[in-house]
Amino acid sequence: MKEKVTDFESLLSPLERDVLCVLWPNRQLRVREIHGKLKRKVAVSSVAVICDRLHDKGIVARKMETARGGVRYVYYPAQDEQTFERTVIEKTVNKLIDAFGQTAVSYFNDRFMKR
Amino acid sequence: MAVLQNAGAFIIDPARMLVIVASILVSVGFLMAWKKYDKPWLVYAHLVFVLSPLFSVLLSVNCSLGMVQGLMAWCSLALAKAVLFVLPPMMALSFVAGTVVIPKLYRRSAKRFVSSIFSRVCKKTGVAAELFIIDSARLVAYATGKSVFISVGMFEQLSSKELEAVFLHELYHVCARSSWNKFSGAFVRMFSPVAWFAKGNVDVEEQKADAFAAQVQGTARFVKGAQEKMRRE
Repeated sequence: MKEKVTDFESLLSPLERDVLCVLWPNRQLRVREIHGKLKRKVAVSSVAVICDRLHDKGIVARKMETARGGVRYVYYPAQDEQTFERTVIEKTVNKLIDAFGQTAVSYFNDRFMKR
Repeated sequence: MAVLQNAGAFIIDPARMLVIVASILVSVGFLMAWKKYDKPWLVYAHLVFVLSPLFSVLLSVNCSLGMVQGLMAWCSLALAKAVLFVLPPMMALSFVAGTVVIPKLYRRSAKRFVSSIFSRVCKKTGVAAELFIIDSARLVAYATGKSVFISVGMFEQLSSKELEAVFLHELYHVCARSSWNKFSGAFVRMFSPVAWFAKGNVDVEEQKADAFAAQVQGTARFVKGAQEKMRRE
């Protein structure tokens, strides 16, 4: 089975991953709607915190919406699933090259040659 | 050493010392009255009485300019002049920053908003205030002057009754001019060494605001609910 980028716990927390998985197919959702679509039992406040964290990381975007005498955020993915995965791969590869230089480059070379 | 001798003569003068001690005692009295009655003018009266002996001594040192001889005397004179000329403008600047500039910046960074819950609560309590929205998912609410600030996160996570409790809490602060009291306490602590030992009345104000919200709503359930959510964040 193909391992998805969102399955890596080091990149995203399990709840962040779940929120993204809800947001990608649905496009635009409010916190309470995301909370309603999640399979796990969590508080609305936890979902709000996770959405805020994803927004700070630039993974999701949000806009303010007025409704029923109040305001709320509507969250939507900043990138589609594929673009997000490519961005993560690119960042990770760049970090490895920055940290290990030539060793990382020759490792990738060997790895791709084998394939 | 003429200046130092002159300052010494000032300090050992029994009549002047009596005035200094009396002034400090009156200032402490005003500080204690402020703790008890929570009226900002008391804290400013404290500041006047605690600083006037200092200004009086420094002015006396300044008067002996013609007798200055030696480096030590020059240093003490320079210090006295620095305090005399720097302290009042510093106080004026801090006052303007705290009462005009910072509240204006707060209002600029938020967005004015009309909420039906807020309007209803204002009507119910008879308090005129403006509501501003803070663009943040965190749970934040505060009041300065006649403006109430609340984050988007509060609208998202609190029930309408809990929101009403938060608005009532903040409207109490508007009514009691809590931001002015808080600023006055902080301002005086900046310039009065005696006030460093006096704890502010912030906790008491918060409890009163909670009690007000609970009294208007007829139950403390919603205030506690909102507080619990804010604590959990």
